[in-house]
Amino acid sequence: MTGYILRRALVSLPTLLGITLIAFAILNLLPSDPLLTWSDGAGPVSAEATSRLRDALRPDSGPVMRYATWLFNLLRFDFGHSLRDGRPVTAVLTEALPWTLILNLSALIAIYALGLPLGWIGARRRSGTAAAGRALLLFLSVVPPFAAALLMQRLFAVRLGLLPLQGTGAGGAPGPAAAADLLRHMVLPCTCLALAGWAYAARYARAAFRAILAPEAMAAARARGLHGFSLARHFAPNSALPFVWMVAGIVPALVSGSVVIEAIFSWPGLGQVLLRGVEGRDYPLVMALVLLAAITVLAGQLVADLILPAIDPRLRDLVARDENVHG
Amino acid sequence: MDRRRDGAPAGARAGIAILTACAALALLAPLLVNDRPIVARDPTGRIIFPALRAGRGVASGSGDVALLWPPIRRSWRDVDLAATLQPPSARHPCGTDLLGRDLMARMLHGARISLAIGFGATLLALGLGIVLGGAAGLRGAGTDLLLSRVIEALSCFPPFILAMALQAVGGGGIGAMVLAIAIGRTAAAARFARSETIRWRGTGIWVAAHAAGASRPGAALRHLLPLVSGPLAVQAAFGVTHAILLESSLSFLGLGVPAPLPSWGAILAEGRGSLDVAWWPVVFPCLGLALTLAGLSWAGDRISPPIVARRLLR
Amino acid sequence: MACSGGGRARAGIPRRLLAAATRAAVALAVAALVAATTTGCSPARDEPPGRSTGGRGGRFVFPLAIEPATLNFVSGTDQASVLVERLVADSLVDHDADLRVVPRLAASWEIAADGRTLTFHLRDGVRFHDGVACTSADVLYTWERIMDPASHAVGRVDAFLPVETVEAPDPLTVRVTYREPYAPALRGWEIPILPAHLYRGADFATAAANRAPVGTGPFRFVSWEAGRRIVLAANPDYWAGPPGLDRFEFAIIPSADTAYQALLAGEVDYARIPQAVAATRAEDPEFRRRFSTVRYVPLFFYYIAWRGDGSNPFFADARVRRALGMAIDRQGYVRSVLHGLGEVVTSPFQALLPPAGDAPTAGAPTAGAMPAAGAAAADAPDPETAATLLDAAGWRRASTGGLRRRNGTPFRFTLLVFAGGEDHVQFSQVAQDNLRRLGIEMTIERLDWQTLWSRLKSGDFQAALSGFMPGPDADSLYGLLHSSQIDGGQNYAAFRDPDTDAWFLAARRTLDDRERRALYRRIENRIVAEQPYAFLFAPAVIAGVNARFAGAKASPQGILGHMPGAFALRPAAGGS
Repeated sequence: MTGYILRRALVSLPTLLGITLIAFAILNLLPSDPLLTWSDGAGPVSAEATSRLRDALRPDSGPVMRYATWLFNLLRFDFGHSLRDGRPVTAVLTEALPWTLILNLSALIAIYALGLPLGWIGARRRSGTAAAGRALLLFLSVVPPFAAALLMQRLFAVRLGLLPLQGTGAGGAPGPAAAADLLRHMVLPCTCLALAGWAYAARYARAAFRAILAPEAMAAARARGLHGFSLARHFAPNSALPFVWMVAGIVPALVSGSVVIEAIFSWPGLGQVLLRGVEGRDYPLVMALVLLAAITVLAGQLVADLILPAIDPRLRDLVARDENVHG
Repeated sequence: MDRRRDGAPAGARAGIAILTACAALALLAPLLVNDRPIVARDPTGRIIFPALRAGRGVASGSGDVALLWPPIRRSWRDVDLAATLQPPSARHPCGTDLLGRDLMARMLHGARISLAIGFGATLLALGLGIVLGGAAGLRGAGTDLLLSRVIEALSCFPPFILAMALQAVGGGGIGAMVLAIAIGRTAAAARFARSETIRWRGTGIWVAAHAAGASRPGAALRHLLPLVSGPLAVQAAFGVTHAILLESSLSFLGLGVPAPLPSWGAILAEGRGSLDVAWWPVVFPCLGLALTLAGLSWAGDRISPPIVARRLLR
Repeated sequence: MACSGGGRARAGIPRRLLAAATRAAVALAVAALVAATTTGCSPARDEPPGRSTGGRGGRFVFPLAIEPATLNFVSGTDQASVLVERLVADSLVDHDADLRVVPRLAASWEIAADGRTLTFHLRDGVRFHDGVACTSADVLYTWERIMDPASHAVGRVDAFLPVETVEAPDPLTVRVTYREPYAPALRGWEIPILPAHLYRGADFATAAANRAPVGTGPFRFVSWEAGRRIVLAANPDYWAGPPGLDRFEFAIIPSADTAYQALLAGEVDYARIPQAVAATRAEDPEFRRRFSTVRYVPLFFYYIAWRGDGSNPFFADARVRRALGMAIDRQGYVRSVLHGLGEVVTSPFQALLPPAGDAPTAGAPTAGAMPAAGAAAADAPDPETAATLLDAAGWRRASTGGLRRRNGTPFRFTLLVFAGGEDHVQFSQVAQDNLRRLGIEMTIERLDWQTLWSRLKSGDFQAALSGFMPGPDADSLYGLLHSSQIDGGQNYAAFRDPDTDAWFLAARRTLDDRERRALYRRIENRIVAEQPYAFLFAPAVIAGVNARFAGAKASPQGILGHMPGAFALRPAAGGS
């Protein structure tokens, strides 16, 4: 097992390097001016001042050297300093990362929590309410995240005053009150993030359950005397596969929706950091972010590859032969 | 008594009908709603088709004699600052946008752009994914290693950065956006295709087909496509609308189609600031998207269950 | 696969219809919901939802769209940093709501007879928030850091380039000598003063005071929760007395729409009101009970730069530039899209006050001791005259219409626009339509800020739409119009006029206000005749302030960007 993990990690190393190289190339090929990157470059700047400052702000080596330096520092776990304010990149990221994690994980849980049951119901019986529910979700999924966010803000926060409009709460000493405050602030942004995923999850679940609960299999299982909960448990392992794959369809929506949702709800996550970083050509920051995202995705795939064989015995051989089943 | 799925043929027909209607509308939009004639004769007596010359900004000369006008004579690009944000009325069935342009005309012309982006990006992603994943699964060993790394890289890279880069380099445009969105979605399809290929390779069918003399790519394609089309169809249905929504976010960030092209995403993005006083720039594109998604999923319903069932029962 | 289809077919179709009808009903319901939540009325409740924080009476929450990069007074020059620095630190001088210079840390000053030496007399007994006395040594240190390129003082250096020396003969006196008389000298000292004792011996870029600033201002720093808020508390020992508020909070709210909704929901105490709803809101009695409004026109205008250095065949001819300027419908845009919240700008000097000393007429939207001379403040675009001018310049349309050409060259050009600016993008489309009717094809290229900036700086463009923020003194337009600023500066139109150059320099060297005004008037006439830029409009701002607070005063730099600014805010008498 450990050997397998290590081998996978080793094999993924070139991918990670390749990604950072691409990110670096993009950010350095795009036109950029360090004068603008630093402190968002405010105020009218005359030609004289520009020439004075440009020497001070210009990077002191060419692109190849800079990438090599960055790589070398990476080996010492030094991610460099942001070009916008000079702070260590790790500091900037550790401030924002927990917020993004909380939001996206909660949205993922919410998607599964609502999508799976609806899919199950829809597959098991012809229910008018389930169909109506799916239709509603379908419509909700095509509402752009920002529109849904704006509408919900107006309805729940301004009109009804039930939920906070934006932000992460008043902070203060950790404890049940602060946790409750945070949860209240999370409801709206999570819902907006989950919107697109719900319809997809419900539909995917319905299709998958329908196939799994195909009549022949059902008849066979019933003939063996299974029913009710044991019936569900019988089909559970096979059912799990599609839902692991389903994440692959949901996560991109979450990530791309995050940037807009975080802006609207003033959620201090990585979305704003990434946006500012790319606009400002803050390449140490963006590269660290890209690396972080890549490692997360790859780690997720690794975990899936470890879980899948446990569920589906047919895959165990493939894993034993060291084939990368999940890709 | 067994339970059967609902009347799939009827639903699928309805779905396909909706999709065909959308596609027809989109393709025929310049001939249905335009401020230029469909057929005209220019001063030298030549027959010209001004309505189809969509790209050029400056209108054709006043010396042309129009022979055939579109049924609805309306422009999607004429700014009218005296009539901004008008609610839907007889004159403007969908209202006007922030700059006074007729929203219905913009929606129809935008259908072409948005559907092209949505379908283009999704089909490109699916095609690339199947090719990449299939090749990786078929070849095994070295090729698999390399291609798997490529697939990994694709799955990890934030499409937003790519979109920005492509726009800065290519000056924006629909092609760049389709590419950016497609690249972001290729990985999921590729991974699925790859694992399916590997599984299928382990069965006897592959050996039999090969022994019977079928060429590798041919056999792979014939057997692979039905395998992957099921779940991928569901992904595709949502993928198209997701691509259009992604285009809306990119438009919102300024990376969308060049102004003043009225893709649905651009209309949505422009309508954001005035949502408090004008719901129509946001609701109509959403309805369009809902219609597209409904059509796609109804049509897709037909494909997935039998395929998925057949596979899992093997 | 034996039994398929059959059994359910007769129940299939009604189900489909049911699903379809459900979808339609859902769509209608959602549309109704949208209408209900978006059409106008103010919140149904009387009081904002209860927040669990105490001390409401003296706590003011102000939204910031961007988080400051750093709170170092010298290197933090983005708009957010500047706002926070105004509350935490003092500058030698400041300006009031009418943009007149007023004393702050410097109790008085005088200018020597030769006009080259400026002597400040600092207040006695002023202390930093950590108790250390503030003296002229701190002023000297601040100046040294600004001039040191290593401290990256982007945006602050310009005011001090003409300085020859700065001396601190005693702890309460600062003497600044300029190379020659420099009219904008006094205003240049509106910079916050650093606490030298916290930076000496520490690395300037990473000192702790950059994230936890210490100054002499009316509010002292309490905390900075990254990405969320910056909290300040009143400084009871402030030299002008304690401020009216106990606490001042900056909340980081990236979306302007969210900030406005937050105002309605009671989560912030100030926000700009979006143009679309400003008119209706101002009339709504419920809104007026809960909020007071302030209105101001910021010192900012949009313009289109026509690159006139001959790199393109269009814009070297002043007739073409004038024609295009006439054809563009700014008035309609301000009226319809901005709902009247803005002013058409026909001259860059329009909103600027006369140089310090004269009676100001600012605050009101039609400020200007310098009314636009020359070209009429047109009420409407004039496409006919524009067409005539274009014909005279050689750009003619074929008799059948179509594109204008001159010697076979079609009139087609590209306008660069900042992609992230709503007004930028929307107005460019209006201009595109205006020019299309005139027979000119303009393509809009939207770029992100850095790319646009590089294209502008290198002159690699034909036309570009951008904005300019003049300072309170007319000399700030030097960067836009002087020929020395073509290469590397902000003179993007490549405007080169020896007379204008000479007038600018002369206006700098004299301290006589009447003489300066006459010189700027001449520049203005020349600019209006030559039209190197098409000046567009200046958007106005209407903002709401929670009625629980009094003392908010509008200036061209908002309610905080002047003296007394935040200092004067206080809970309203008998506050709810």
